[in-house]
Amino acid sequence: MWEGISTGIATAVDPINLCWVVIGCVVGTFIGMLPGLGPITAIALMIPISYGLDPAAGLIMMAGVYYGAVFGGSTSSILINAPGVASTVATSFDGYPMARAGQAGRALAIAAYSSFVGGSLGAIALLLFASSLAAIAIQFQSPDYALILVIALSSVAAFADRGQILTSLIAAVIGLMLGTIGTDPSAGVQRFTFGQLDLSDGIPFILLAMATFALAEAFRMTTDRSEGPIPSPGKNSVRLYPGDARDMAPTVSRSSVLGFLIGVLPGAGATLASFIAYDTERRLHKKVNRVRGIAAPESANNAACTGSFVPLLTLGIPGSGTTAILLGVMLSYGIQPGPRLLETEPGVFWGVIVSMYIGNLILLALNLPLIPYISRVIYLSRKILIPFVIAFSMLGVYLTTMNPFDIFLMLGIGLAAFLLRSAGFPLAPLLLGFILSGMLEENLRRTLYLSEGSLTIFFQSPLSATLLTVCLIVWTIPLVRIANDLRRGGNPRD
Amino acid sequence: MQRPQRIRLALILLASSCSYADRLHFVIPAGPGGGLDGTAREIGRIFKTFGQYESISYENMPGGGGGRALSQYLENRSRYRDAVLVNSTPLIVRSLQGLFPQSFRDLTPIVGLIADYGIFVVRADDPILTWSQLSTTFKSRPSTVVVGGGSVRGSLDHIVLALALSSINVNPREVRYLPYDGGAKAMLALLSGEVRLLSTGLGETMPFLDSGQVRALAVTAAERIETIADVPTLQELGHDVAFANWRGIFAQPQLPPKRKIELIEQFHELRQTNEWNAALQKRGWTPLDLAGNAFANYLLEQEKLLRTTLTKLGFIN
Amino acid sequence: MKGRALPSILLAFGVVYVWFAYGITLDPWSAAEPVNSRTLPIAYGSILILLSTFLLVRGMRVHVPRHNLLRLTSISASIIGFGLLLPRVGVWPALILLLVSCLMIMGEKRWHIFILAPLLASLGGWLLIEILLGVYVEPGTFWS
Repeated sequence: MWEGISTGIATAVDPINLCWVVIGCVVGTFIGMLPGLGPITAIALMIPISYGLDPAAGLIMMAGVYYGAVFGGSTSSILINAPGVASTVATSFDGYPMARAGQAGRALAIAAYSSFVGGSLGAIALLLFASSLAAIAIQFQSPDYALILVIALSSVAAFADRGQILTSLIAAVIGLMLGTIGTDPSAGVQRFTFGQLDLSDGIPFILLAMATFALAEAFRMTTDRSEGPIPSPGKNSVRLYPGDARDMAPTVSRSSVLGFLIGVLPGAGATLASFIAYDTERRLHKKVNRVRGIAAPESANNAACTGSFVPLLTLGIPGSGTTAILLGVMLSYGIQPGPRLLETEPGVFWGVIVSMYIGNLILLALNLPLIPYISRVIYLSRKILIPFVIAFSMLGVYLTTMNPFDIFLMLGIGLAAFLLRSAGFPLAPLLLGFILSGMLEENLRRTLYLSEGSLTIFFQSPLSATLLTVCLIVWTIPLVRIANDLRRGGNPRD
Repeated sequence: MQRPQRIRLALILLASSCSYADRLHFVIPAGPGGGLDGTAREIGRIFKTFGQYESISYENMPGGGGGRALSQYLENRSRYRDAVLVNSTPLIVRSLQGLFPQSFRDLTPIVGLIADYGIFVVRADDPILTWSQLSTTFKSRPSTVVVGGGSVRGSLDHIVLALALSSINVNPREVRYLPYDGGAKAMLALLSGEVRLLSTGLGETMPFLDSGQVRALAVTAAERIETIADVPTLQELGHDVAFANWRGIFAQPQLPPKRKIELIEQFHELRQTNEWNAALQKRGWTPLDLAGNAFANYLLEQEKLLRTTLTKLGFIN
Repeated sequence: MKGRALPSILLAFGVVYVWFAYGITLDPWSAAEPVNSRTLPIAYGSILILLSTFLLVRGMRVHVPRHNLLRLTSISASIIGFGLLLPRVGVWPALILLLVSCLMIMGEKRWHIFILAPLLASLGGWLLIEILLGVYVEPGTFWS
């Protein structure tokens, strides 16, 4: 393996390849910052360019575009509460409030450092454990996925402040319900589409995220006159505060490991990783700490993005839409990822992995100096900021789906979300429910179809049994809280 | 990079004076990065290299299982007058299932360019070695072999399975089919042992066959395929089944005959280029050589077959 | 003040959703499925009915600031206008109009801001998305 790593280093520091990793990262991070243009679009746009390159350079560049886009995706989440990429939704939970409190630069810096550590640790883990992890990823079957999703669902409790558990639960259920709209993932029948072709693919996640976060927030700001101006930034607003690094260190290391492992599982991906990491931190620390709240999802989603290369490179199985496109690119070079990739193309395999480490360094060096300029957005007067946030989120959704119908859908959801927010409903659980809905149903249905309805399938394998135990543990706390909440009665917002 | 779209008024004047388009616009009923998108972009790239068109543009229009692109394409005829629509077999399946009212009959079929065949694979270490062993198992205990596929019930992978099962006189409704979200996840399910058999497309399976993780029992092509010469076709096994998932190009219904001939000619030239053949090879696509009326007849035949199968499966009456 | 309006709306939403969930067509294979196309929607809907009934009984505090709903309505109207114009004139011109109207609604009076900023934003977006990145965006029926 050490031999492989040295081949990889040799490939990665080749001047031409270095050049392409820089180009990939720059393009990726800028496209990632744009509304609605996530990693998928970024990669798809670069396909024509990749044709002209040799395989190692091409893949190094494309990988750079991918993690660069994930790296840059947090910017709009933090600054204007408009998560352009699903995996940065969780970043906005604490990032946006911090930015509103006049610490946009600090929030962006935390995100950049966490992304860097997450991405780099991910690259190291990929280097060391890729082949052994692939063997584990292959053990997961539908019951295990179903259990993981139920575990993830328990994090609705993490988004609830005291007395909010009921509203949080309702929001999660609404999210699950919205997730059932569209074509049934098993039977292919249409559900709740009312014959509308525009609904048959379901509500796009980006639309729901933009509507419930960016739009609902913009609506709140238009109606609420009481809010004062945002405190102006200090001189060195990019710097972390003393103690931030200490707060971040354990969080980032935990979340990176967690994110990487979730990223390895095909289908779970960076979004789920960021939610679970956020939830874990909320559970471990009673007090809300915004630094950890940004660090956790940002390190997790970048680590997960690197982790998703494990099944891609070692099994030839893409776990997400983005890695599926990368697979297509590899095949178009005549490279077949899979167990034999290590033997057939050691230069490409190790080169791509080592380049990720370099790429993350470049991304950090690229993003930090930009923060003071980008973060000025938030100090614009509301008169100007709100119209632009609205236009930005509409444009983001339209450019993703190219469907004018979605503008109206987004307005409707935005207004409903505004109403729910005004009533004190947390909206993060709604998004979580929505993300999990489709996958949960699909895996649950497969599981019970296989077992013909018997629940014993959930403790048939040691893996499932372990996951079931974890599942029971993580659900105990929220259930106790729900019971308390219900028993106490009275006003939920006390 | 494409030409600026804003100068359209000037362009419209120009376009009306020129004979036929010097620009080709592809309407792709899927998001960027998929098979249909790749097909359009490969074609466009080669057309541009050989100067058939000065500018090529691609419009991705995902949604509605391809129905949104189809209805937009047909409703805005003036705008899409010179545009072509890329499509594949699901166009027929979804229109049979009534997801959208239009069908390929509303379009002018130009060429069928690429074929993907259905293939049945098991894990490399599976004791089942041949298709006949598998069919014996299916005949005696149809529900014991769980079959996975990369799409929902009633779509291609399931239909191909049903075709094969009917050919060995097994009622497809007695066999358990487990749908996954995409061929990759279905392949993972096969590797993890959740399903015993996989009904999937040859193109996607190729890398796994090459790496020796899985073994193919039969393919739905009419003749043996070079790249997997050791895999028997269902036909040579004595079953009267052949099925291909085509990918092809369509144009507007009221296409002037002159333009139709021109387009067919251009695609004929495309097929001769080394670039096209290199692209086919790289991407693992099997060429399909159908044009004009031959393609239209092929579609009619396939629709008939699909209608029977879907009826047998109980998806349409 | 104990608000009952929102819990009632949620309850109604749950009931309507479950009603439609019972109407989902089942494919012939669903008979053998322990969890079919209807099961989970019905379960989710029932949970929502249960929880919102509880909320209804208990009541909840809702404070929607009333003083500026006019502004919210006007902004919603401009978004609807944007959605209607979009397929006709294309995204960039429609975006200019959306920005101009939202800026006016928000009380921006400096003309160079509410005219120039939208123009520049749209132009920048067009250059970046269509020219630089080469993404094809529908130009709108009006222009063809």
